[in-house]
Amino acid sequence: MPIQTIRRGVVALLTVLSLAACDLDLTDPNNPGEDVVEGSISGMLQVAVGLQAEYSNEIVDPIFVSALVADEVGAGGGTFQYIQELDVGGSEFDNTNGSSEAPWAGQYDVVQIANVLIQSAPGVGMGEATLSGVLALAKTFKAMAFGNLLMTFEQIPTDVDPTEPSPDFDSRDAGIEEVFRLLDEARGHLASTAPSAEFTEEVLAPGLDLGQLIDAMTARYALAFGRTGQAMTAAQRVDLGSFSEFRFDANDPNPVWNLMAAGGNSTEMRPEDTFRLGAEEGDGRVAFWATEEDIEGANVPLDAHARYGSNGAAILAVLPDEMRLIMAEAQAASGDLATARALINEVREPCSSAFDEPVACLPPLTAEDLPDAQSVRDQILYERRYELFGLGLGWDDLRRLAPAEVKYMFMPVPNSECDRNVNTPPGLCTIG
Amino acid sequence: MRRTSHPSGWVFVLLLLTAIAGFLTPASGQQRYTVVGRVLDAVAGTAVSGAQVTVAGTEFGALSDATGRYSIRADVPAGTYTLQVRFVGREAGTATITLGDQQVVRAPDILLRESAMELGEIVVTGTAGPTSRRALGTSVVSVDASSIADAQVTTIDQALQGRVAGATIISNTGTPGGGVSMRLRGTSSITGGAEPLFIVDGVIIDNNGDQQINVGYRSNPSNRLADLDPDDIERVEILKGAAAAALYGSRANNGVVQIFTKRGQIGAPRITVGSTVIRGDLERSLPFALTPLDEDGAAVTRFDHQDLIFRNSWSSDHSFSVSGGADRTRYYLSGNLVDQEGIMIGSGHEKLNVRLNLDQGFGDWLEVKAGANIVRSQTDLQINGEQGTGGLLTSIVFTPTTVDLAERNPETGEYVNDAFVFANPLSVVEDWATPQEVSRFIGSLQATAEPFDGLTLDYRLGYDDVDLGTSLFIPRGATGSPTGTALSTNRASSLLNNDLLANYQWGVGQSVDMTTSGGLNTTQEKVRNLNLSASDLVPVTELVRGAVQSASEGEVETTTVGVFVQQQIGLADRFFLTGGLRWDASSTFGEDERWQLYPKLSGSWVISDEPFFDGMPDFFSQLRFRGALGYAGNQPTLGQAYARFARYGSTNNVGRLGLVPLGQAGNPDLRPERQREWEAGFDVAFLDDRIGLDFTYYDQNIEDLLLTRPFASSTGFASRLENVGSMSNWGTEIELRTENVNSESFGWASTLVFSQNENVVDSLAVDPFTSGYNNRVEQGHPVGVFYMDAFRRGADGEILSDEVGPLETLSDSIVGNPWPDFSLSLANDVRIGDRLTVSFLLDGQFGHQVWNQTQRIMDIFQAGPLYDQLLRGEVTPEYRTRIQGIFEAYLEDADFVKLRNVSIRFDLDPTWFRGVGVEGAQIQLQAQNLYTWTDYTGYDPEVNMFGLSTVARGVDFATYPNARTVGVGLRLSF
Repeated sequence: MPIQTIRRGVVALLTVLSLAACDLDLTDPNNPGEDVVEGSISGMLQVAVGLQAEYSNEIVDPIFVSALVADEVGAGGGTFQYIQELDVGGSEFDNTNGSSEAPWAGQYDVVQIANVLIQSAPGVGMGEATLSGVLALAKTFKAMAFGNLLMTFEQIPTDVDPTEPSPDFDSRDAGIEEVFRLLDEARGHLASTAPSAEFTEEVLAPGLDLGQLIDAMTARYALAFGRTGQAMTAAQRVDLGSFSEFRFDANDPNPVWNLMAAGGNSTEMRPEDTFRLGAEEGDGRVAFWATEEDIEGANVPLDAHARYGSNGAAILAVLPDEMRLIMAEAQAASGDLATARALINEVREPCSSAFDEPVACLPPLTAEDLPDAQSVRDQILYERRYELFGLGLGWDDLRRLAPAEVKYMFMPVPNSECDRNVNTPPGLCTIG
Repeated sequence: MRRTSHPSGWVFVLLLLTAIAGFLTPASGQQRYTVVGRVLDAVAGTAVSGAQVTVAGTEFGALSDATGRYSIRADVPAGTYTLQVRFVGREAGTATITLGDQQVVRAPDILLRESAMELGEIVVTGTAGPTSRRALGTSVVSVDASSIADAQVTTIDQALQGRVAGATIISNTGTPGGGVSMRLRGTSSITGGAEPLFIVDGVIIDNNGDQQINVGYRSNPSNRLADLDPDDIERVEILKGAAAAALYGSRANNGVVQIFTKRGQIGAPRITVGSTVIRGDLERSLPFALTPLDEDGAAVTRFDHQDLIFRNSWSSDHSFSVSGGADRTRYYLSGNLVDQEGIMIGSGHEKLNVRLNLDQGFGDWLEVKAGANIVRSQTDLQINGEQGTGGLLTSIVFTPTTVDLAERNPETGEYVNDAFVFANPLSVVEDWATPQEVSRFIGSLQATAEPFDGLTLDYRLGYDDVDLGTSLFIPRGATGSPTGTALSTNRASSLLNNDLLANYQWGVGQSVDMTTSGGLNTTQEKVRNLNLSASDLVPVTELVRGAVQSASEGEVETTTVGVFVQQQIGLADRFFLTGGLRWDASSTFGEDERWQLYPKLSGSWVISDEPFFDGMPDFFSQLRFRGALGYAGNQPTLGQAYARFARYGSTNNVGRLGLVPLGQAGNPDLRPERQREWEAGFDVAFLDDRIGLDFTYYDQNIEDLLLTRPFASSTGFASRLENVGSMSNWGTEIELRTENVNSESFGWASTLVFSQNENVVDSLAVDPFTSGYNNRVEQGHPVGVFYMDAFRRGADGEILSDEVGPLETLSDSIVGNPWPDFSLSLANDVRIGDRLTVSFLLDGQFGHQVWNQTQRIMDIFQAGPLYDQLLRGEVTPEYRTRIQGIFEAYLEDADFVKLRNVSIRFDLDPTWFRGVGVEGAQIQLQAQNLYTWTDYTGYDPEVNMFGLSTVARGVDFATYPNARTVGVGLRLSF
């Protein structure tokens, strides 16, 4: 071989060797990257599962704030100062505390995951029937997150995106509007294309009926946000023979149990004994939620958790009795007290249920017992307190039905948002 | 199955070694002569080892050995020849020999002058090709084999301590084989790495200082530089910042340290063997409370627990090398066996290091060099630092001095007392185990071709494969671990780099020299971690086997690609201008910022070579001005290798696997931290080069610092890694070399090195934050200043007191700086007569503080000096409680001067050994850290419990102190 050829060959070989192995688009072998997850059907379906896990865990934050403010639970003796303050309605805390940060950040984590699904799921080529279920699920959970936020904070941003560090806050009305727009769209997806078996059997969490959940949540938030007529219509759509719940197990423990019962001294929160003592004699629902005990609390004596006393307890999602009480409240608002009373008695009278839910087993109330709109409303507040303990609704019930008893109108927007989002209205950052 | 090794690299090296073996052919020639002689330092008279001696005009030559002796077999016709001696870092030397009837010819001693101004020295790091120092616009430091040999150190970083202007080299821990951290011209990062890039013979090597498993949280940083054998090192070149290191692109922000190993020379095999025995001890003791009274004044017995855990250690270091070559093949083979005892009981380090360097020429245009280095080591660690369970030093500082730790139950033989809150350290040493094992291969392959005149092509393949495993075994029945615990962590890393360089030298007319260069470079790094743990252990075994077991695995990979061009213009060999551009891409950069450009420009003017300089006074002998501007980068760390995109983690929903985003948002605009550095200086020599002075001023501005920026929660993410901060370093470096005396019977040369650096965080887009315990990152302050609970002070800074004692502040404040204001070192080499040389190095750092948490804990746990004062009735209990609560009370000035190194060498007369073939013999006495002058009250003002941490510095908390060692060694050459 001529020497020149060898020399050229060596030069070429060295160049090739130097340029070998130049892959600059390396993926993370430990944690799948956004391009992988958001570009594949299996990735999107696992995110849909993750969305439900996230929501069912983050739900504890609006729950504990509401339960403290509504005196469902009381602060344990060694709890954080702000928990004790919320319990008594004091003002010795600010927006750097968990009562602001936790519900805000947790619900926005849900919104972010839902946004990923809404944006990316349509592009990965999954079947139409599966996509319909995924989009309905994402919009429902996003609406629920906004709904929970609006029951805790006065105003929120809804047009949020990781690339925009300072989103604009919506007016309260616009925020509320977004909740129902999302729920309507979710219902639309299911109406136009029924979800596939792949979705209902492998993605949707066992224990949830998505169609019922959409209507029940529409009714719940419509009532909370003063849209009584819409609440009535939606509640009427809910099949009162159906039931949904968020389930947990030892690997995915109930977050209310985890925080209030198992979280240690600093977050110990247990049913106030006034919850038990304030019940009508014989109200079977008390024992569903609380067990008599004399635990010293920071402010009032405390009982033990019954329902939330174990890590595998489910959190109720669609309750027929909540729908009945929503309808009763709507009927009372429209002046039909008789129908309202009948609905209240439907909640009170049963002594058993096909579902794992509280049953009152109380005598019916008559027109003499509930002669006027105010007495009906008071009774609805009572029934809701015992029916819907620890579901994050008590605070808003007081705002609606007993405004004089409300300790706080809303929580302040957390410091982390106020500091980093230049569009936060400053007035929202202090205790109102 | 994932693998971290790259079999192709091994195969390549093996093939090459086989090929080279085939080329070994015996020499042939007209007449065989053996030329013997010595190469000596012209000033100190000491042997210069590793100098290349060649018979001019032939291919025959040899390397001088440790005694400076060489022996050349030359097959040449009779006649008169010139011997040429080259040694990097010194001026060339020559001698004339006449070859006639005598077969063995003794040449006159060749004296090499270590020029006070090394303008002729060749530097290869940071330039596209070998470049004479006179052409460099930057201050590049080189340390050669003789100063490393003189220092008689066991690790390379020790050899550099105090010898490099602009470098702060800190021994974080005295653990045998343990960590050293190096900062060149200050700290250039906050969340990223701040250690320089280390390269050995073109191989980028792993310098990970991770502490595996929590053997005393953060108290045992590892040191991958300790794997290298200092005896193998021919020379070290150090680039201190972006101006010099721009061609290394986005890995060069913290500077570059390139190490070159020894290679064989044509000639008969040269064999050297050496052995050193070293005794170590603790230089200073802690002032434990030993007043034999209790707080009520009653007599009690008190114990100095230091006596139990420290000892005099004995270590040995044996080395062997053989080198030589024939025809176009040269070889260097060496072995090194270190058996080191730590001064703390139960600690030790064993290391075996073998290196083979083979060089083979093919025709007159191609040369291939290969190197293989295999290292195996085993270190017995002991737990120390803040997590006390099982910690030796930790447990004694947490134990009142009234507890008798040595007492045994006479029946069971077990120790009676636990160490107050922790296990008894003596039973820990007897029953627990914390072994660390390293298995490492560093391979290099270099091919240099000159296809035609002026063009040089250089290809390099480098491969570093490190397997580092650490285990912790706590037996059943141990305090705090009744069923036992076993942990094992394995870190397997591989670094592969490919470089191709082209250099073309050409000229324009008589006096313009042009060098045009270009190159390609790729680097791949892969690290895999495996963590195993078990509890409820199977009896007998110390492995991770138990009733309850868990395991996890993690892997990170990065790729960097670079392309560069450089143009150098030399005018009349006096004025030089160099410009270069490097484009870099890394898998860690966001797609929109994938390619980064780093330019550099430098100039050098040897003004003393200008004709007009002849008019200057004779006082001046040489003068050169230099200046440079360059840019370099710092990639995101391995932990942030995938920060450019958002990632998902798994979650569980009623038995189903779900994915949810991790809290850190992806940053598609992620790019390296970027340093702009300019430096300017001059080199001047006086009095016929007997005094040389180098002065450099530098200014660095580091922008795009990577910081974790917290997000508004409404984004759904907690934070994002962003390029948001900036900081500056500026400082002065002075090196003064003098030949104080140079007579026949006595020589004395000194080198004084001064470095001073200032650092300030210019902007920080995030809130000020604290790293480690109390090192603060805050705009307008140096990075890592001490921020802690402080004394309350009046308007003039005086400490305010009440009737109890000093008052404390109500909020934390900045009270000190862990970084020295300046450092100063003085190296001296003295030659007495023909055979005796003495050298010593004084090294000092000034103006910094160390937080002595060790002593604070001792005081709180009734073992410290403040408690002793209480026992003696000198302070009140209230005063003691007050002082212990004020962190600043334990912040101490840590100025120190260390007698870092003393070495005495005596050359034995080789004629005594002629009969047994010994050609040279030396006895060497050496000492490290012989004495420390300091007001610091802890063991050692140099330690840092946070190891290589960029920001957390200057914290002494139950950290293994550096040993004082004295050794004696014998070195023979054949």
